[in-house]
Amino acid sequence: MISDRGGPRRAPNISLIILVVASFVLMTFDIRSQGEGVAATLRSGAQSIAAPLQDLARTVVDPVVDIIDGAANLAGLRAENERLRAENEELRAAQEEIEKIRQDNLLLQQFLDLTDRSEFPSVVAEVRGGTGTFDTGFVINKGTEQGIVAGNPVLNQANLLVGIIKDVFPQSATVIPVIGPTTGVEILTEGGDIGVVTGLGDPDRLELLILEASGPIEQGEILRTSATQRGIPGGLQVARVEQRLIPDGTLIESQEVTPVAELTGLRFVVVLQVSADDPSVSTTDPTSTTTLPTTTTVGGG
Amino acid sequence: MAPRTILVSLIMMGLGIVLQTTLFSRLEQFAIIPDVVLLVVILAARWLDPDPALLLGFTAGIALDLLGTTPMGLRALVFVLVAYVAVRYTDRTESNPLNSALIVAALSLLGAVLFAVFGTLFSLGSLSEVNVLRTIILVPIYNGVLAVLVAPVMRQLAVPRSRTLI
Repeated sequence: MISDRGGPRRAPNISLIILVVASFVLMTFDIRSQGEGVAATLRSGAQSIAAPLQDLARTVVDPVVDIIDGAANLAGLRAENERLRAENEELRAAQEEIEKIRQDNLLLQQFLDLTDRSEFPSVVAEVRGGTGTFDTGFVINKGTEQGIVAGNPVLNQANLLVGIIKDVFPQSATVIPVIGPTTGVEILTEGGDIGVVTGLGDPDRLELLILEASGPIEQGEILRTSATQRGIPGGLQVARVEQRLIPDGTLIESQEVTPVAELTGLRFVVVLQVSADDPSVSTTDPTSTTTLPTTTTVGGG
Repeated sequence: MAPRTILVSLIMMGLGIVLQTTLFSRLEQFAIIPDVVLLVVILAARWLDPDPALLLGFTAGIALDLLGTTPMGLRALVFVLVAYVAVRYTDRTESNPLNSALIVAALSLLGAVLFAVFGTLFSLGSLSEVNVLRTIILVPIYNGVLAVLVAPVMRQLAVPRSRTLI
């Protein structure tokens, strides 16, 4: 309207048209290339450039996040503050640091146990974070150089399915979590029915669709991967049924299903390097399961 | 337009991207977080000349697309359109923090709606997300609140001539 030089601002119509067309072309190109080619090279390059800056920023940001986390959990903090009041500041800081290292070690030990005992080769990766608005995905710091390929399942330290690898670059990969609205995971009920669990973009809710249910599904039942989905081994825990689901005819369609893996606070994940051609996965036998350690609860699910 | 304005805008954009992908992406107890890069694009568009303002939006959008999982060009498209509206319909001389916050909130609302619509058109399923309405409502509010803090600082750095107005 009015510039600081006193005149009206010129409408940048030509620039707008050029940039809008460029955006549409890039989007079409990126989607059609399915995360490969020039688009993948650009993403990989951008993430390689940003990674050191993000790592540097995290050293500053982490204490701020801890403070905000603490403020968000004020009730828990009060009790801890009373205990800590008796200690001096230096000792408290040292204690917190040691505790953080111990937790990290415990977490990483769980991952090592998980990778050692898994039927498939696997790699532990650190979660770098995502971009926020309308983007439930996140980036991890391992990629093709560590043998990760698109479609690999991603688990947390408790061996629960967190998501699926979408795009892979030499030193990083993007993960679409099970709660993402574009993610569909084929599941098997305890009664042997096959269905699909789809994300809704809600961390606490998933949608379950079973077309040919043989009977009701009981409250608390765990839905596991069915071994019929390309690249995903059977038997991985995906979701929990929150109330008894009674089929309408043979159809079950419900959002009373929650993801078993807690996605908040996720710092490390393990990627199962499952080949889509592996005969032990993508079988016609939906009850085929992979050899994975039993679920542990240490450190949260 | 002073090269300083462009330089400050680029630095703020870089800082915004780093904060968006580190600090804000880790505030997981808040299911919906501010879009600080969009905030910077809106504020910079009010002080930059029209073409650089649109280019800044495009560059910031591409950078975020490349660092996230959205199709390359989606955020660029949204940011360019928001920057265009900011260039065309906001007053450069506006220095009242409350008015700035309202402008940022309104343009962030536009950005969130555009993102949801284009995200759905390009298979992201944004409009089918359970949190779509909360996102569309809360992101502009967060950005508006942040604008009260960020706008005066950015204005001081980018537009030294206007210091007496603040």
